[in-house]
Order: sequence, then structure tokens, then C-alpha cells
Amino acid sequence: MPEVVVRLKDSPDRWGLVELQGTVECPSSVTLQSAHIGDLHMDERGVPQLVIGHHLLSGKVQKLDKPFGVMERDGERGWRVCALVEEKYVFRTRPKPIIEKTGG
Amino acid sequence: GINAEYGDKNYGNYDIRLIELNKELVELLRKEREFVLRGEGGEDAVLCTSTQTFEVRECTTSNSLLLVPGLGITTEERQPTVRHVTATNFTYYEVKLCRAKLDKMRNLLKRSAFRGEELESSIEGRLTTKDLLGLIQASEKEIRAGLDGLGAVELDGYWRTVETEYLTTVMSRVLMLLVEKEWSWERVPLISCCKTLEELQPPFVSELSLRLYGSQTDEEGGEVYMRLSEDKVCRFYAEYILSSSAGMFHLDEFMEVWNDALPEGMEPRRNHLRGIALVSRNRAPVTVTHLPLSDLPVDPASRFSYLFGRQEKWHQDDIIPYLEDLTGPGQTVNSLLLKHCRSSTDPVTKEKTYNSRQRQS
Repeated sequence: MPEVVVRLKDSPDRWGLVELQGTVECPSSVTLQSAHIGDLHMDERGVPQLVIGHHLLSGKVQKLDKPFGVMERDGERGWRVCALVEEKYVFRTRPKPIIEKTGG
Repeated sequence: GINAEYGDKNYGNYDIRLIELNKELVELLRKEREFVLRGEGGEDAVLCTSTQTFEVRECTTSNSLLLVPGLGITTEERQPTVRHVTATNFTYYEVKLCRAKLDKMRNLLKRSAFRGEELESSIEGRLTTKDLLGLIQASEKEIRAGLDGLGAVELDGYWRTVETEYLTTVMSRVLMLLVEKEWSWERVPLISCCKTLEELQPPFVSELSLRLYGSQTDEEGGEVYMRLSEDKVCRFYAEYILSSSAGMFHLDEFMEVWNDALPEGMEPRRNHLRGIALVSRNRAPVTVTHLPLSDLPVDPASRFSYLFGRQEKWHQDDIIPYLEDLTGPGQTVNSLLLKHCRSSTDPVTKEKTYNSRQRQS
């Protein structure tokens, strides 16, 4: 069986990785192809915050000791490393429900 | 802030894999631009750089790993921008440096080994460099080093080793010629040697044997001179004598036969028998028994089983030569002994001794 080549793309992109506990659930009426998952921003202390539905998750940015290569198929037998992931946003804290303000 | 969306129309249809690389591998990938995966159906794949081999293992996490191209958020960003999640993964590949898996190559080459021109037409399964790179789970550098170590040569584009029995015949003829021509083993004329033996054996095997058992010293007047290695020739004869007899000798008798066989000036020593024979302890008269390393099982557990089947108790110095070829990253002789043996101390010599961990029935 001939060897399978894993080639690095000419200028590999930098991808981000968001790590969440469990799975993200979407209401069945919305197809995954265009679902809005949530909003991500950094607060003043540099702590990433993720709002999903009515929940607020606090996380942290972790530099990866062992970066990930992102492999996509290249032709029938090959693979291409199209991007590298060198850090991840990890959300492990229990979600805090966001109470909607009434009125206004 | 970022609005994270599953916006990519191909979400769910991408086959995206994550592979965990260490920093050195990332640098190497940037430099070499590619790695290769090697292995046949039924084998676990290995990842190879140009010089190293890594085992690949699939790991599963209960967390969701959302891959977002171009994700990078800072405290300064005010305008929300959209980023699309390309895929969600739950598995990734882990790589671990390992020993090059070359035993398969040795066995495959054995099948197509050269054993004389008359038998060439019946040889099957010859392998090219390209064949080897597709079949053998090792980096190219390790494969080439392995071929070198086996004394393989490229004939008509195929890698060939010489069958052991045939090589023995070839080498014996070369050594007998030395005596006949009164050539010193320190300066053997390669071209004359090959030419004189041409009717008996093809020149390439005469040359191969001289290169396996010696090295080039100089060239003069159109001739190439080889110096035989005393260690290698002593080991050659020890193996020759032991394999052509019942396999066990009294030591005195063996030393005499061995000495007689060797070219003038070569002196056989006990440590030439490492990996070839066992010299008995606690027995009189002392015996020498044939136990070639090449006959032993490749898998560590099976090897120890075999060794303890031959002898219940082993002294450290005696067992080590039969374990060295099993070592690799994270696996030393000591770790193997610790795992598979019970150790104690010889009350007389104070040397470490080893017994099987398995119960002897």
C-alpha cells in the first residue's frame, strides 16, 4: 500500500479552538448550517466570556503546549494541513443564566 | 466581540481531523513541508518525518472542540464580527515517538534473498525502494540505515540481502582464497579476489562479503584493498562452527577448532560469542551452546519466554546481549528486565541474576 502524504499548505492559516463541556444544542427548527451559536468577547481583565442562549460562561485562553494541525482531505488519499491551532479558549465554568431586563 | 455561528455551508460535511503535534514537529513540518503515514491494512498507522517514526493513536474527549478559522479576540475589539465554526470535533490524534518497525523489512528481504545465480529465476517478491517506503513503518532515513545494517545491495533496482547459508559459503571461499594466495587479512585485494572467484560466485557477492566483514583501506595501482575486521571474522567462524555441529561443545574443544579456522594473527575472545552462544556456568567441563540472536522471537514477552525455556536462571552479563535489539524510546534493557523478570543475586559472584516471572510448571 503506497504511503499517504500529509502536506503542509503553502501558508497555513491560524485557526481558533473553542472548547466547551458537553455538546452545544440547537433548537431543532434551526439547521446547523446557519445557526447562531453565541457571542464571544474579552472582558477588561482579558477573560473571554461566551454568551450562549441565556447563559454566560467564563473561560480562559490557554496556549497549547502541543499545537494542533488541522488536516483536511487532499485528493483521494492525501491530507493537507490547512491550519495550525496554537491556543484555545476553554470554557469550563458553570453557565450563569442571564436574566433579561424587563421593559425597555 | 465575536458572533460565533455555524455559518459555513459545508458544516457537517467536512472531514476535518485534528493531530496533536509537539513544537519540534511543527517546526519540522514547516521545514520539510510534508510527513507520511505508513502501514498496511491491519497495522496501526505510523507517522514518519524524514528521520523519525511516531505511533498514531486516536483519542476521544467528552468536550466539544469547535474549530473557528481566524478566531482571535482582544479586549480592544468593539465591533462584533462574525466567525464561522467550521467543524466540531470530539476526537484527535496523538503521536508518540517510537522505534522504527524494521523487523518486517528483514523478513520480506529474506524471502527474496540472493542465493546463487542458478536460483535467480525462481526468486519472488523482490522489493524496490518505492515498495519499501509503502510497506515499512519507518522513516526513510531509518529504512536506509536498516538496509545498510542488513548488508543489502541494490541489484537491478531491487534491494537484495544475501541468504545466510549462501553468504557463509561465499565468505568461506574468500577466506580460503586468502590462505591459498597467502594474502594478509589486513590487505586483501578486492578486484583480484572477485575475479579469481568469478566462476564460483558472482563478483558482487564476493565484494559484498568483503564489505560486510571488512572495510576499505586504500587504492593502489588500480586495485582496491580491504582490511578484514578481526571481530567480525571471529564471530563469523564461531557462528559457522556452532551452526554446523550439534550445537554444543566443550569449551576447550571449541576454542581449539575456532582458533584453527581463523587466519594467522586473528585471536578469538569470549566476548566474540555475545549474541551467538551461551557459555555454561556452574558446570564442569564448561560447555558452549549455540544460541543465535537472529533465532529469537521479536516480541519481548515471547523472547523472555524462549530464553527462560532454554535456561531457568540467567546472569546479567549473559542475558543483556539478547535484549539490546529490543530497546527504543522509553524502553531500556533495565525496564525490560524489571517488567519480565524476578531478580536476585548470585551468592558467589555477587552478580545480578534473573528468573522468569511466570510460574515454571
